[in-house]
Amino acid sequence: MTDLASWLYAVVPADSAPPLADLTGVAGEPLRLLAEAPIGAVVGSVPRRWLERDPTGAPTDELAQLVRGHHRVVAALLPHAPVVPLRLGTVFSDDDRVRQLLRQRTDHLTAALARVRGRAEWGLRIYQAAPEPNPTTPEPVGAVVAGRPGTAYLLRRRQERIRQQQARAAALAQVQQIEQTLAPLAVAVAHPKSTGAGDDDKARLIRNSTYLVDNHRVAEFRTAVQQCAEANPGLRLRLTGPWPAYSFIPEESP
Amino acid sequence: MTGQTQLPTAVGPVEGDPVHPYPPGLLAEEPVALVDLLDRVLAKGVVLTGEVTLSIADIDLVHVSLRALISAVRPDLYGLPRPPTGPTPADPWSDHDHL
Repeated sequence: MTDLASWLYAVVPADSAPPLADLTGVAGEPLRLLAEAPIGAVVGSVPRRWLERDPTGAPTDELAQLVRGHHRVVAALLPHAPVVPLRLGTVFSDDDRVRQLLRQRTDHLTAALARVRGRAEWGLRIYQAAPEPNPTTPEPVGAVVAGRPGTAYLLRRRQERIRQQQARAAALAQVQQIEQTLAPLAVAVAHPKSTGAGDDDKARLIRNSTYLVDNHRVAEFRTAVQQCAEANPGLRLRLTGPWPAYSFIPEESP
Repeated sequence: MTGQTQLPTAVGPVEGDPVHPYPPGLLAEEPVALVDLLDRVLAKGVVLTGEVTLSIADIDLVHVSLRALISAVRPDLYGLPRPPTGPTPADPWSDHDHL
């Protein structure tokens, strides 16, 4: 047993020639392609001891670096071949075990590669735009509550709450319309729960979607997103991509 | 910001050459928002089991460490605006235990 373990980044077709010489992995290590035709795994060797440490006790920057380092490799493969990204932290004791896994899961992984070939994932986060300050809001039933500031205050609060609910309902209706516009341009759509981590605008996020789009339809898709944004000034749309198809890898059938 | 779409930071001219639709290296060189990254790298991607023995591969530990990461993450590391000085806001994960 060596003091190194094999960290998996992604599965690619065995005959693809990813530019591994230009890349390094999460530990700064060189990468290699383990081919078990028709599929192959992009792998790096990381110190076993380094991984066995409880990451909760590790400096937080270290985990951030793992996340970034892992994605950097997966993303760099994307221009060259279909890519099945592995979830962070998929580690095997040595390359033989990785090859064994590739042989065992050939069907699943081949199907997954076929699913993402010529396609990429695009993320769309839709936020409710910040409300316009509304100085013209009429003082609610001012005459009735004259001389009763507490009641006036409660009525104002209630009116404000109703206004917010209405704005949200309107925004949700717009989101639905946007999704009806975009869905036909995509191969698949998913609505994963967002961690919201690092998103300053998390409170205003009303929809987190991710679309699997054929590369030859990307221009059309992006134009449609742009048009949706222009047509819905009450919303703010944030499109990101192209992503490796993290969200569209079919589950393995038991 | 209203009515605008912030086109992706990591996007290049994807149309065109069907063999190499993305300029090589583009994704790796552009900054990617932390939230989009975490949503995918930690929560998605194919899960291959068979031999997952190291602690970081344990899904619960990954989530726990993600909490730790986020609560202590240095905004400047990700090009995010620094939070205002003053009392630390409540744990942003308190309502996200479903992750």
